Amino acid sequence: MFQGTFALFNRALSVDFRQTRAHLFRFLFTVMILFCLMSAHMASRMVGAAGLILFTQIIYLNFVFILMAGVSFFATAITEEKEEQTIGLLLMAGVNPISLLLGKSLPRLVSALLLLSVQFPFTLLAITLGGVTFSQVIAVYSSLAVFLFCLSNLGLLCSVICDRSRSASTLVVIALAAFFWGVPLFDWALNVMIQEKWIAATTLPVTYANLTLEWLSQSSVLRQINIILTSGFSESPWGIQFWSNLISGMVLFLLSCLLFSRFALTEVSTSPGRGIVSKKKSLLFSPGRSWANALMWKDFFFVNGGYGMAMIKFICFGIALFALCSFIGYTSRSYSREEIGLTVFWTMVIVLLIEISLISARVFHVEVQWKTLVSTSMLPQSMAKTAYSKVAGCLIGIIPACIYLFLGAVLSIYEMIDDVGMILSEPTFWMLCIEVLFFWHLTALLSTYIKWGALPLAFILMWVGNMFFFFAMSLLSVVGGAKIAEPLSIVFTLAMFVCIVISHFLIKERLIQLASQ
Amino acid sequence: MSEPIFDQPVIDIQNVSHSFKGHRALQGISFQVQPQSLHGFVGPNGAGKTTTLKIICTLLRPQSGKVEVFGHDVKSSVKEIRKRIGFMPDHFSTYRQMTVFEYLDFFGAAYGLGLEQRDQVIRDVLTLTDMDGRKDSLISGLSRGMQQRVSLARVLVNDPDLLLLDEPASGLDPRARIELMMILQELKRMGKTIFISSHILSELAELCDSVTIIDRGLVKYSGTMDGLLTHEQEHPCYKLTLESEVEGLVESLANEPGVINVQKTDKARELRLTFDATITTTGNLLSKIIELQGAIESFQKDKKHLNQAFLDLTEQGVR
Repeated sequence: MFQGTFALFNRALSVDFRQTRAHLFRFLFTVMILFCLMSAHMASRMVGAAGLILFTQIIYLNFVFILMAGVSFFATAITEEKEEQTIGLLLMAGVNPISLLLGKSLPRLVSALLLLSVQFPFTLLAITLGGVTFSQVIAVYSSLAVFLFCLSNLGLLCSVICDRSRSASTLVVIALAAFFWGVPLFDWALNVMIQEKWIAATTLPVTYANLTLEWLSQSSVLRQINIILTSGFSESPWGIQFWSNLISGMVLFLLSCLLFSRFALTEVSTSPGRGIVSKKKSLLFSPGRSWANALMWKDFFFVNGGYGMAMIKFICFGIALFALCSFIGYTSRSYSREEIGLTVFWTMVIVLLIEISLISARVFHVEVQWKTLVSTSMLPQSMAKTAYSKVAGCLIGIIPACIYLFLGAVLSIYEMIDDVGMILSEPTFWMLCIEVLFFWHLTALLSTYIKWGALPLAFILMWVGNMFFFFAMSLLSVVGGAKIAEPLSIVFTLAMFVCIVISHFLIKERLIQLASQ
Repeated sequence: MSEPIFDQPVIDIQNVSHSFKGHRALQGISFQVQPQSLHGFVGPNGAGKTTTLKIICTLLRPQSGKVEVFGHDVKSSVKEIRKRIGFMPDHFSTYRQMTVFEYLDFFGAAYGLGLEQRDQVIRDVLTLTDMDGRKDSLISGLSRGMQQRVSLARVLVNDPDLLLLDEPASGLDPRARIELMMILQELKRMGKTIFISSHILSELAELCDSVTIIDRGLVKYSGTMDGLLTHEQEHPCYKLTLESEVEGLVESLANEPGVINVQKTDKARELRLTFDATITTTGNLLSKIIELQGAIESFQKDKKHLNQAFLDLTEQGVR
C-alpha cells in the first residue's frame, strides 16, 4: 500500500540532496546559530544566564524558519504536482491518494524535523552556559515539533484545496495571521464589548467564546515557548499546546485525505486568468484599447486587475479605514482630526509596503511563469525599458492606497510638518527607506530565479542581514564607542544603495538570459 | 546608416559557434538565405536549430563568427533588426488571458502603431490567418492550431520583411499543418522572406525553395531543395534499366574507376549506380555498358526519397 509513499519519499530526498539551494539553506541556518552563539558569548560578559539567551535566540530563530517553511515549503506539496499536471499520472501509476499525500508531505516534514534535531548539540551547550535546564530543552523542542507537524498539515490541506502554490501560500498566511493575531484581537474586542456593556459576560455564547479563545490561546506555540522559557519551569512538556497541535495536525491530514478527490483531481488551468478584467466593453472593467506604452497597459490590467480592481481597492480601503477610525474614536476619550490623519497615514504606509512587496514578487515572475518573455523581449526596445514599463504599469495599481496616504498626510499636516524635518535629518530613517527599497529589488531579482517563495526568502535574507549588521554595530560600538554607530549606518546605507543600482543590472541581465532560454 | 541593398542575402551566417555549459551547440556553421525565399532549416532534435534561430533574431549573441540580417550585424544593430523581423518561438509565447484582438492591439501599440493603423493591421492579419470570426475569443480557449495562428498573426503585426518560425507545425493536426503551410505560401507570395525550422524534412519539401540541414551543430547541406533531392553535387545516383540481363556487368562496372556502388534493385534488369562525379562521367559509364554488350532501355537520375536523403546526411543516436 505504501510503495508509492516510499517511492515519492526516496525521490524527494534524492532531489533535496542534489539541490545546491537546500544545502545553502542549511548552511545559512548554521551560520545563524553560530551568530546566536557569538551574541550569547558577548552578552555573557554583561548578564548572567548566557545559555538562556542563546537558547531563546535559537528557539525564536526556529520559530521564524518554521513559519516560513509553512508558507512556502509545506504549502506547495500538492500544488506543485497540480501545476506540473502530474497528479493524474501518479494516480495512474497506482499511487493512492493517502500514499501520495504522505509521500509528498512526509519528506518535507522529515527534512524540517532533521533541521530541528541537528541543533541539539548547540542546545546542550546552552545548558552548560547556564540558565536552561534539560527539561526546558525537551519541552521547547516538543512544542516546536508538534507545531511543525500541525503547520505541515495545514500547508498540505491548503495545497490540496488551492489550484496554485501562490494561493496555497496566501491561505496559509491568512490562517496563521488569524491564529496568532486574530485570536488576541478577537479576545480584546470581546473584552471591550463587555466593558462597554454591549454584551453581557454571563451569556452562553460569550462564555463559550471565552472558553474557545482561552483554549486557542493555550494552543499557541508562542505562548507555550514563553511559559517554558521562564525560570523555574517545572510543568509537563506534554501540555495543552502539545496535544492540541498534534490532534489538529492529524485532523488537518484527515481533512486533506477527504478533500483530495474533491479538489486535487480537478483540472488546473494552464493559463492565467483575467480576474475581474471584463471582455465586454464596459468602461470600468474592460481594458479597452492598448495605451501608447503597451507594456504598462498590459501589466496594469492583466497583472493588477485594471480600473476595476483599483476601484475595489479604493472602496475596501475606505471602508477598512472608516471602521478602524470609528472604533478607535469610540474607544478613546479624544480622537482629534490630526490623530485620524496619522492613523490613516500609517495604516496606508503598511498597506503600501505590503502591496509593493507583492508587486515586486510578481512583476517579472508572471512573464517567466507563463513563458511570455520571448515575445516581449523581441520588441524593438531595450530590456531595461521593457522592465521599467512593466514596473510602472504595476505601480499604477497602488494609486488607491496613495490617495488615502495623501489624505492622511493632509489631515495631519501640522504634525507632519513638525515631524518631517526631524525625521529627514535622521540617518536611520534613510537607512530604513533604502532597506525597504533593497528588499523590493531583492524580491524581484529572486523571483526570476525561483519558482515560488521569493518574498519569504527575501524577507529571511533581509532579517539575517539585519541581524548581522546590528551585531557588527554592537561589536564595533564596544570597541570604538557609541560615536561610531552613525557613520556605520551611513556607510551601510550607501552600500545598500550601490546594491540597489547593481540589482537593476542583474535583473536586466537575468531577463535577457531567460528570454534566450 | 544606409539601408542594405536588396539582392544581398537576408541572412548571412559565417562560421558561427556557440556553446552552453561545455556543450558545443553550433560548431562553425555557415549558410545564407536569399530574399523573398522560403528557406527550410531542418535537423534532428538537439541539432542546434533553436540556438541558430535565437542568434538570428538577436535573443542570443553568437560567441564567435559573424551573423548579418539585412546587412546589419546581430551584435551591434539589435533594434534595427528587430524592427524588420518577426520571430515565432517553438512554444506558445502568448498572453493567454487576453482576447485575440487585445493581444494583437497590445503588440501593435508596442511596435509604435497609431490607433487607426493598428485597426487596419489587425484587420489584415486576422483576414490573412483566417481568424476574423475569433477576434473576441480568449486565446486560452482556442485550439492549438488556432493559437499557432494567433502567434503568426502577432508576428505579422509589425509587417516584418523576414519571418523566423521555430517548428511552427509542431503538435498540429494534419489539417492545421496544411492550413498553416498555405498561409506561409501566401506570405511568400507577398514578398516575405521566411526562415522555417523543422525536424521533419518531408514537411517542408513542397514548400521550400532552399534548405539547410544541420546535425550536431554542423551544417550538412545548404542549397536548393532540388539539389538535395538529387544529391548531385558529389555522388550522383542513376538508375539503369537494361533490355536483357548481361552476365558479369555488375562486377565489371563496380571495378570501374570512380564507381562507388552498383547494386540490383527489386525490379528485374534494373541497377542503381552511384559514382564520384569528380573521377568519372555518365558518358564514360554509358560507353562501358555498351562495350559490355548491355542494351540500355533507360538511364536516369535516381531521385532519392527525402527521408533517405535526410538519414544519409544526419547521424544516428539520441542527442
